[in-house]
Amino acid sequence: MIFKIITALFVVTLIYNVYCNYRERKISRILFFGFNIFFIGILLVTCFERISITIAKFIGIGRGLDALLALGLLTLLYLSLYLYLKLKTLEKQLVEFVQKDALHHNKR
Amino acid sequence: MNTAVIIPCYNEEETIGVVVQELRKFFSAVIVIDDGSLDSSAELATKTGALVLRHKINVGQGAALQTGITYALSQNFTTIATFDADGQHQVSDLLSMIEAIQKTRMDVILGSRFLSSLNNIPLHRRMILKMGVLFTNLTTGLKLTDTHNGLRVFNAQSLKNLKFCEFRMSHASEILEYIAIYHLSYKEHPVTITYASCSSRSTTGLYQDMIRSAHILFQFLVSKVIRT
Repeated sequence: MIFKIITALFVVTLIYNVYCNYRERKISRILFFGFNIFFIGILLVTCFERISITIAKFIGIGRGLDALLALGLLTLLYLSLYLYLKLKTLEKQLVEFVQKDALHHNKR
Repeated sequence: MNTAVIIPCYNEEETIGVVVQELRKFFSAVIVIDDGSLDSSAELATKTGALVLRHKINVGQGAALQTGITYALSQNFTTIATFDADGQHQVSDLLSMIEAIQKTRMDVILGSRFLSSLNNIPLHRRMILKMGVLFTNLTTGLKLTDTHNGLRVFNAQSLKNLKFCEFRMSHASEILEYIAIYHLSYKEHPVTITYASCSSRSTTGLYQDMIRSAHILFQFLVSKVIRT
C-alpha cells in the first residue's frame, strides 16, 4: 500500500511538472498530451492493480508490478537512446555549421 | 614538397606563438584552427605568421582537425601534417617524418614516443597509453606502439574520405580505424615528447588521466555501437 501511495505521489508530481513546462511553453501541446496520457496510464495501473495484472498476463510476465517495472525500464532505455541520438544529430549540425563558418570567413 | 601543418588550438596562448614561430622557419603553410579559444591564442598565431581559421565556439579537437584537413585539401597540398599546439612536439621530428614519407611513399607516418629512448614518460601515463595501444591493436588489427600521438604526416590523397564522427578527443582512435578500414600503408617514427613544457593540461595526475581515458573510450565505444 505504501509503495502504491509513493508511486501515485511521484506520478502526480511528474504530471504537475509536465503542466508547468507546458504553461511556460517549454513543451508543445502534443508532448503535453502525450506525457499526460502516459503518466495517467501509470497512475491508473498503480491504483487499480487489476489493470496491471491484465497487462502482465497479456505481455506474459507473472506479476503486475514486474510488468510495470519492465515497461518503465524499457521506456527509459528508449528515451535515453532517443535523446542521445537527438543530441548527436544536433552536435553534428552545430559542428558542421561552425566549420563552414570558419572556412567561409577565410575565403572572404 | 607542398606541406600544410595543421595545429588545432584551444586556449594555448602560452605556447602557440613559439610553436608557430619554430614551424614557420621551415614551412610556409602553418594553419592554426582556433577552436573557440577564450584567450589571445588566435591573435598570437596570426602575429607569428600562421593562417588562422576560427571556430566561433569550442567544438573539439577532432572537429578542428577536420576543418584544417578540409582547408588543406581545398588548397591542393600534397602532404598534410598534424602538430600539437602545446609545445610537446619537436619540429625536427616533423621534418624527419616528412623525409620518411617522401622516401617510403607510405600513406601515413605516425609519431611514436615509445620508439624513442629520449622520452621520460611518467609511469601512470605509460600504463594508460599502453592499455590504449592494446585496445586499438586488438580492435583495428594494426600493429602500433603509440596510438594517441598528435604528430602525424599524411599523404593528402589518403585523407579524402576521412570524416570524423567523434569531434572530441576520441578522434585519434577514429583516425587509426580509418587507416585500418581503407588499408592505408603506415609506418611509425620515433618522436620525442616534452612533458615538462608549459602545457599544464598535459601534466595531470593518474586520477585525471584515468577518468579522461575512460571518457574517451566510452565516447568511442558508444559512437561505434550507434554507427553499426
